Amino acid sequence: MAEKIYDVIVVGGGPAGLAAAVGAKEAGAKDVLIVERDVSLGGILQQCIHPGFGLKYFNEELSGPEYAYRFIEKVKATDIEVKLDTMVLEVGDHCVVGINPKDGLFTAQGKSIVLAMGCRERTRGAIMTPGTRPAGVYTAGAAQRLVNRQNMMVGKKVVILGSGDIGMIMARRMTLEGAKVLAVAELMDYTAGLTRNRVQCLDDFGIPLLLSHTIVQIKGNKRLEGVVIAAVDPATKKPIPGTEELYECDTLLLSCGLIPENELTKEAGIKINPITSGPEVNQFMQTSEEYVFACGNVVHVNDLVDNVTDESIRAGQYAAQYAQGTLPKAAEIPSVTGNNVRYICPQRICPDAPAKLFFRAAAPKLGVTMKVYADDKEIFSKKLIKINPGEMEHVEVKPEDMKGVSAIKIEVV
Amino acid sequence: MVTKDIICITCPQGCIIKVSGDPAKGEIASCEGFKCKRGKVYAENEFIRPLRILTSSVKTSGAAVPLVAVRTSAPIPKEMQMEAMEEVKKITVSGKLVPGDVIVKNFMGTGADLVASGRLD
Ligand SMILES: Cc1cc2nc3c(=O)[nH]c(=O)nc-3n(C[C@H](O)[C@H](O)[C@H](O)COP(=O)(O)OP(=O)(O)OC[C@H]3O[C@@H](n4cnc5c(N)ncnc54)[C@H](O)[C@@H]3O)c2cc1C
Ligand code: SF4
Repeated sequence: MAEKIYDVIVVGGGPAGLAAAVGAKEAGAKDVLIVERDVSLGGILQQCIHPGFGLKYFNEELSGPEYAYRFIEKVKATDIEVKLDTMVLEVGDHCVVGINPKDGLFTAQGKSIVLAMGCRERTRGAIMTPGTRPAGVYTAGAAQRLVNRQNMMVGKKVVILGSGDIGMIMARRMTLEGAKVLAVAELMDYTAGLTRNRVQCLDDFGIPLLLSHTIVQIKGNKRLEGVVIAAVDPATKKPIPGTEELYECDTLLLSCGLIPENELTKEAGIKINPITSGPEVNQFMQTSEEYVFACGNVVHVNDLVDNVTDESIRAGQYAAQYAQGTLPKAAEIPSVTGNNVRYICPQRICPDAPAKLFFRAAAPKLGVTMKVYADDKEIFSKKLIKINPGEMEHVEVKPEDMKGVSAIKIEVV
Repeated sequence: MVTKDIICITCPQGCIIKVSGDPAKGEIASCEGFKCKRGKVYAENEFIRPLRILTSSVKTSGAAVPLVAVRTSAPIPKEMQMEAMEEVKKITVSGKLVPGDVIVKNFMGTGADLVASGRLD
């Protein structure tokens, strides 16, 4: 019997994978497979019980599980095949190698492959906090899972390091669940997450936000007993001697950023961007390997699931077109970061088709102008009241502006 | 007359909205700086009586998972959040639930219902 060849195989069943599979199906892909290592679909959304999802896509304010539910129902209404409790171990030449208790080790063939593995949290090892290693230190996301899905309260007196969205959301959750959050310490002189989360998660509950502060010591042997927080010099980020203060606490949550989950991508020899830590893509979400597409947090860390959905539906559609041999192939030009732009995604642009460029600023600033250049010619400019690295911006570039151009540059001045 | 700068939390744009009026009397004289209608509604409420959607989870019995996510179907007064959490903690659910199923009608007299936001099989 000839082995089945899928049109599109999607790795990961979070919001990105679900939307990509639905997008592929809508674009006419015949056999579509989703492979998910968890026992249920939905990815990180299942533990994000707070509201704030879907405002753009559904024009309603949904919780994470509600948002996931809508897409899971969409997938169920189709003949998309789903393998749960299945870990993908390798992405090979037009195939993925996976393992699960039922099939054991297996290989599935696909004309195109969509990577949607999401991201993981930076752990303490990655950020090097000095001191002992007692119990009571969690990443904010791990604590979120324990509290919101497992009914395990992680502590009573809490300090949070890092002002990422998950950290701020957990500050509110822990407070609502009856714990006392003593402080959120942030190394930078601005919050890492969205302003709306600072307002509704910290300000609403009077939780102190210590900007330009960091933890210099962790105390306690078996269980955490306290942390020492010091102010840092905003310019050098070095602790200022004499500013140390002890916070007695039983729990420390780390919210120090997310990194795209790209072991599979790297092993497949796909080009990774050093700034986003995700694969480089064009506006079709096509990686350096033309049959491999990528979408969602595996490409770059998104703050809004609605953007993930939008991008992933497109990735699925283009993956379907590639499988059917209808995706045009053309010479590409790079997108280039100018003044105060940390990164742009996609990194490559096919000038014959419209391109939506997402980008993040390098530093926060009020009263700025965002400018887009085709080589030296300014093709777009827009005044913004403020720009913030925590909040992603985007701009659309039309094919008529890219004719004969060798690069597109974005800058914020 | 009071004037307040309110940061809209409805979406990540985080518009700064200037509202003036008399909050005690529930009067709005002016409201500027919003980019959409949701923002206007939010800022006016925030000026007079701040409202928030409350989300949490409740215990299950006889199910494969220990918790199911819940939310208020509409925003409730902000100052009621802690008190509302006490009520939420007393609830145990069983059987099948899909997002939107009502668990407590007119939750604590707020006019909003407490509904499931996750799924229970
Ligand atoms: C704590 C937190 C709070 C957030 N709050 C908001 C918010 O308020 N509003 C908003 O709009 N957005 C919010 N976001 C952002 C949004 O949830 C994410 O952008 C979105 O979930 C990304 O989707 P994804 O599918 O790329 O990743 P994920 O949801 O992480 O899904 C990836 C999936 O891939 C699977 N996977 C990984 N590796 C493998 C493998 N080798 N084999 C098989 N399966 C694999 C994982 O199990 C997972 O299910 C939040 C994110 C976090 C983390
Ligand atoms: S006013 Fe509208 S656009 Fe501005 S933050 Fe509020 S919801 Fe968003």
